[in-house]
Amino acid sequence: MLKRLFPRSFVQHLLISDGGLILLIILYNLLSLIIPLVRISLEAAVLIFVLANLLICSLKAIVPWLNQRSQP
Amino acid sequence: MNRELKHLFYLIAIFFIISIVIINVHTYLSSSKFIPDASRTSQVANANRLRRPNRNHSSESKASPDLHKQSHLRVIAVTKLQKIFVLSGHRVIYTMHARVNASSQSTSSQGHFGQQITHVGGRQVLCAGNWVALNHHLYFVAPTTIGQRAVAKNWLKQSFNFPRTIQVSQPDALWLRSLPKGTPVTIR
Repeated sequence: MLKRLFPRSFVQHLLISDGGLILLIILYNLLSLIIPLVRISLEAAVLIFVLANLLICSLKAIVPWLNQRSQP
Repeated sequence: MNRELKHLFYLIAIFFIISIVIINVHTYLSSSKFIPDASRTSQVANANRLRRPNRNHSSESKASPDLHKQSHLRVIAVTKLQKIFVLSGHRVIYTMHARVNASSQSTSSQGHFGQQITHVGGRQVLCAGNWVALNHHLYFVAPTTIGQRAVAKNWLKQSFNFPRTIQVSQPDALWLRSLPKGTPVTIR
């Protein structure tokens, strides 16, 4: 069931976008050395990472189900 | 680029932007981590450069500023935050990790400093180096040994009682020697 919900191509794309998220966090923390933005701690970064992945996976699981329900 | 990948990137970017907006707004609005004497932006800017407490390293990753080139210098030590803020006017120029073992008071730097200071408390002999006098009963010190053992690198997490001192790291204590005589020092 999981393989049906999360096909291989989706997992690959998710991993690429996770890499993008990590890069964004690193760039933001480097920028915070110049501009007075609040630096993201390691715990906050892990939390953002986990929440982002949860959001994406839940959208991937829920949206097709909602579409299926709305179809006659 | 693949359509699904594009959508994932957009989602991640939007979620990230929302998260950092929430973090920044929450931090800037929360008054518990800031002192009212200086601008919050300067405090955040200095907090971003803070290293983990280590008695062998300076507190900030950038070079310590030349105190003789600064005007309207003030030093504020906050016991609860375990930090010392060095202000020039309304701007924080340097932040230090510190343990404040002194009561709330206002004093000033005396321009006196020395190599070693010792406190005998019960069975313990506490030694500290690079002391800088604030008045007859208050010093900036860099703790070195408790009895025969060296103080832990993160001295803030080790419990020992060194009364009437503000304990900082070795490089910070050395830098504080350049504090001009008569600089107001406030302990809260």
